[in-house]
Amino acid sequence: MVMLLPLLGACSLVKPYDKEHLADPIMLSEEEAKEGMRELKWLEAREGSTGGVGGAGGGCACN
Amino acid sequence: MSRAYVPVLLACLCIPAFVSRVAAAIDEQTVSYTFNYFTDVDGVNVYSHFSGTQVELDRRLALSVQWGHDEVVFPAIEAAPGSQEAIDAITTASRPLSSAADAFEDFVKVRDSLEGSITYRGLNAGYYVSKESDYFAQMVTTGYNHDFLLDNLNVALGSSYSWDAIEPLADADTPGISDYRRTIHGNLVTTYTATPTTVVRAGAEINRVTGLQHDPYRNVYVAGTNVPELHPVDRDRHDAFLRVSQYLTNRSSIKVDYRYYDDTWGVSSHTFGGRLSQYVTDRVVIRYRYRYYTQLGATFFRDEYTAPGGVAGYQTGDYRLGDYGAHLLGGHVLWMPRADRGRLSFLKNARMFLSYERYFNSNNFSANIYETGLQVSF
Repeated sequence: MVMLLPLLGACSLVKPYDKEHLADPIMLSEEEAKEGMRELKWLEAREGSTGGVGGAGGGCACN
Repeated sequence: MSRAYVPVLLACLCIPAFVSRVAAAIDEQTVSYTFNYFTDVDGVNVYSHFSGTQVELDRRLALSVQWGHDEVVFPAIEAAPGSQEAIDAITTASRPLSSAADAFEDFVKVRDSLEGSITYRGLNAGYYVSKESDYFAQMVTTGYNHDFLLDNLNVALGSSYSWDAIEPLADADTPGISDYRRTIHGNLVTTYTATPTTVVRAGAEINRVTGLQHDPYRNVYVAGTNVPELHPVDRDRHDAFLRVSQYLTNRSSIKVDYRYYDDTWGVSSHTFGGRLSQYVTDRVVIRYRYRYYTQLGATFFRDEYTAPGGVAGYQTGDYRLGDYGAHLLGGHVLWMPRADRGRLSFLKNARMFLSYERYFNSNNFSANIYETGLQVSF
């Protein structure tokens, strides 16, 4: 993935004044990231490959 | 005055001075509160409260504090005492039962957590702590991100280390030995603005987990007898994901994502997701969501263990380690009130939301998740 990064420079770059739509709340991902962290709390106790990054707490007796 | 009071006195003098200096420099402050209610087909109810605040200073320095409180209620066993159904439920219970009578009463578990982080330019560091009656978790995090290509490409690196202490509660049919769990985590995420309406994000994570990773209260039937559940103490987990967000011309957006996961226990999974957001008025957005999940189970998972010793010495009663698939459907309404003037002007950057999600999997498990929240920026 890192090796592909220089290739991106060859693409035409989006100018700051063309990014109006990207700043719209329906395009931002910060809130969805917070939702994802809350979701992780219950999903971790339901799916074998979810979570595991530590810090979420025990989960003992939660499944 | 006792010397013990000197640090307290100094703190009392210094903290207000620090707070007043910080208050004078605040560019923006955000406070938020979210309530989440989870209820499943087994009668488990989870009530979660999250609140937090974030302060931006000089647009370079940001401080954030998050607090969480969860209350999990496990229902009492409904089968008649002494019946085979009740005996099976008690034997395979994933919660502590210090006596048979405990099984016929609700069990309530509380978890409190606190997380603080500081961000300076592209650098960030944080600390997380959570406490349950039988589990104490701590984690430190650090990361760095940088923009390239005229801010069209962001590369972020992150890592964390967590160390957890596990003190099982009294349980009649398991040994209840103190234990630990350690997790080392690393990730790399790149975000690329491909066009004025398209953003592509890709990333990968690795986790190395060591220590207790099974339920210390659960027993498993192995070759006709009950033995405590046992999982390997080491697990290396890897995943990679790709996400594309596309703005559409009718004031809507679509986001699709895919994640692949595998680990050294033999679990592998594919997750596909999609979100469609649409403005229904200038201030109200409705979002629909679908997620499909499918996994292959761990090498030591069996529906039934017929030979003593399980599989390679391990045995599990955890359905999360078997083969199955799951679906998640949801709807979300976001309201951004218009209040630029007057007494309610503080709501001009507010957001309120309400959401409902339905989760179900091929093990006949299903759950409903309700969430509501408010966020205000000053």
